[in-house]
Amino acid sequence: MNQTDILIVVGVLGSLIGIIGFLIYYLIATGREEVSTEAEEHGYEIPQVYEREEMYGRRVSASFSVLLRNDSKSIGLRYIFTSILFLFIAGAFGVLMRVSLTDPNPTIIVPVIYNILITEHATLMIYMFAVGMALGLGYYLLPSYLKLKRDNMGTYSSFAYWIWLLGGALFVLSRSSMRWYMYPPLSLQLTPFGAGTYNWLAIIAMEMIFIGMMLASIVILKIIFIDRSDKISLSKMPVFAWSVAFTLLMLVTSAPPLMVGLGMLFYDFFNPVFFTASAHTVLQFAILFWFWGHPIVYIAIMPFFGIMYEIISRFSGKPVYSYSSAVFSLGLLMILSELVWGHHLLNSGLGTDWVLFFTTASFIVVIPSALTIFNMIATLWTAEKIRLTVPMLFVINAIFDFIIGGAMGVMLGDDAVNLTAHGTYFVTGHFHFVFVGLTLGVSMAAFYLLFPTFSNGRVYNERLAKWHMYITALGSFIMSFSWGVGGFLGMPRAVAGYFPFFQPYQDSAIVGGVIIGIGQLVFLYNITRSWMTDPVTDPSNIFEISANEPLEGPGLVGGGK
Amino acid sequence: MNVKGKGGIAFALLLIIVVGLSFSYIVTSPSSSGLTPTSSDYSAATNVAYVHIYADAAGWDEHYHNVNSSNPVNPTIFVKVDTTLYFNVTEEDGAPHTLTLGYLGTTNASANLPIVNGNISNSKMLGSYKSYEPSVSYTVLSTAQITTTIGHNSQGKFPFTKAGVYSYWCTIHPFSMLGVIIVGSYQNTSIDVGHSAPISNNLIPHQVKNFGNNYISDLNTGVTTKTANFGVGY
Repeated sequence: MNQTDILIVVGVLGSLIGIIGFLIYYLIATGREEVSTEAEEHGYEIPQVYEREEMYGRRVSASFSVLLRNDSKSIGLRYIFTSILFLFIAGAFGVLMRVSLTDPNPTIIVPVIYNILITEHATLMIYMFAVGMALGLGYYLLPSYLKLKRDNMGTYSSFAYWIWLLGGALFVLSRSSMRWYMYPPLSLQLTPFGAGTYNWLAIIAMEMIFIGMMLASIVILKIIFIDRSDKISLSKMPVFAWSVAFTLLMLVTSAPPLMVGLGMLFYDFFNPVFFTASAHTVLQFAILFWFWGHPIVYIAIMPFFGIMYEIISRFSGKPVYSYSSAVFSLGLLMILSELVWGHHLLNSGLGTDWVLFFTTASFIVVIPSALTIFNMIATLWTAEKIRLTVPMLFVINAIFDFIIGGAMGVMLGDDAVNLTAHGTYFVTGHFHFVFVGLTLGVSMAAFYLLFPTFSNGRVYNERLAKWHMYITALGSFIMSFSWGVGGFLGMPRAVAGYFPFFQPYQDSAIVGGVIIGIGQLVFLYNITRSWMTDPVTDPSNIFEISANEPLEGPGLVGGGK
Repeated sequence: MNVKGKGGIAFALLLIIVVGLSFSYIVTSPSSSGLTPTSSDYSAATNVAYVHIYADAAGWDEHYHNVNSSNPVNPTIFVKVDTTLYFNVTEEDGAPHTLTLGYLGTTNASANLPIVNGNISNSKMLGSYKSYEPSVSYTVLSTAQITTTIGHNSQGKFPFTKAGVYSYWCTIHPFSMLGVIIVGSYQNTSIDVGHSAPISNNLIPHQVKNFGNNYISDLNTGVTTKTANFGVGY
């Protein structure tokens, strides 16, 4: 047998073992029998009633047994911890990319591997970290926020989680270097080295990630709109629930074009008919992509706006300053995000009319963004006392970074500026200000807040957590700001080398990137170390109220009504 | 489950293992492979030939700042089997470049090699190797060696011990900087470029071919002369 035959045999056998293993896992995880027995023991005749009254909405702490349970909170924990895993994987790739740019000529890693790293970093950070964290917090917090009537979509959610995770793993294995936007002439290369590194596998992996995200989104939308308690009307839903609802509506409406586009791209491997240069249809894939590609970057921030509202209310002791304008601005953000995708293609020849439309629409996005930020600032402004805990510090830093990154984004939305700044590190600086400051920072804030619940009442080391926050904020600012300045001078992004003229900007960005990496190691050490201590506190907190508690009180979590 | 607090350690260990595995998996991605010459290849390649090309993002030039359309861009290089070809690459435009070789396969027809948009389109000739970046490749000169200093000269060599068609390209500008090296046992002495003279003697004539027109260029004198159909019959 030659090597290919051995690989085929191993592949088939491995798949069979995997399928059988998954079947066993599935039988354990659904565990209907077990629930009936348990219900009988507790004196319930109907297992569903027992599930509703005793199991759903309860506190679930993090342990590996969440992989065997299918209730929403366990699914949420799976998503949250998997996201953190992928944050570290993609973050390691990012730090390596930074370090490799110490010399203007690619000396540490060759350009081919740099391209693979940039693809993996972008895709994993967006789909596996940001989206995973948003879905995870939705699954974990919404059952108790909305006091679910029923929680019966666990099998679908579990399937969504596994196919999403499998997609992420296959994307790493694909070693693709086609960038996260998968433009066709590059992504259709099929050679094992260089630009065409197993792109077919990467495209299958993307489809799997999409299927997982779509399924999970539909389940969470069902939780929000159908399964929530009758006592909670839409106008009393927490802002976080609204932000998740708008985000996932955006996801299910804008993902299908790219899912279809990926299918067509896959067909092009065998019979290039859709996106070929000879038919002048390559730009069509770019349009299909960015129709999804712009909403995805809002999907990565909007749930975190919701978390920010909750955290600000919690630590300033005030309800959200204007609940209705908070919901309105999030809704407007959802609608506008579907209309501005063209500003990613301002220089690709869409025509002046379209460019004017997309530029104008991009400027209008400022209105909901500013409403959101001013609403948060107003909540802080009216508070008598603000407790500067670690999550609150993260949120304040997120507001700060979002204002800078947002202003850079508005500049980029202008066609004239875009002509000079597109394809430079200015763009990278813009979205890293937002993603590192807001997405990463607020994820960490939520994780710290939920840590006592996750760990059955243990507390994290607050001094180390503050170090984590300050190091991350400092590194993020240094890195993104250097990129912003260097990018405006024309430093091209996404290449393994640069002109020696840009050395100072690259060097300071390297310092910033390494500082961010060190900050996350502090986080990992803190969490691991704190988990070994003894439980000292009540695992319940404002972020993890039990479903059995009444909703009365100062109305911190609920809306402003 | 977590009463003793082992969950955090377990997760951290899992995280470190998974991050380490994916990190090493990606960093060890094959970027250049298969064509790496061995010392026995060098000892087998007894002939020596020499080519001087200029690295420009618009295409490999055979003359500095090639503006004359009669001078071929991305020249086709003919090499006799068992020849060590010395590349002298001069940086022309200040952009980073690599010189990478790929083995495309053996030839079975006398067809020419039209190159369209980075793909060698004659599939009949090249079999399954339709792309400029085949699975078997070797980077003779990296970006660090070529540098971005205009006028910088860098030298590399490769022993051609296997007859067939090779591509040479720049991994950073693969669509523009792409040419073909044809290695064969030439019957016609006028197209033999392999010489046994030492490399220190730079007076080695070298032949380049442009599609549609055939040229022989002496790179040392810069004289280009048009010849008749020396590629036919090979």
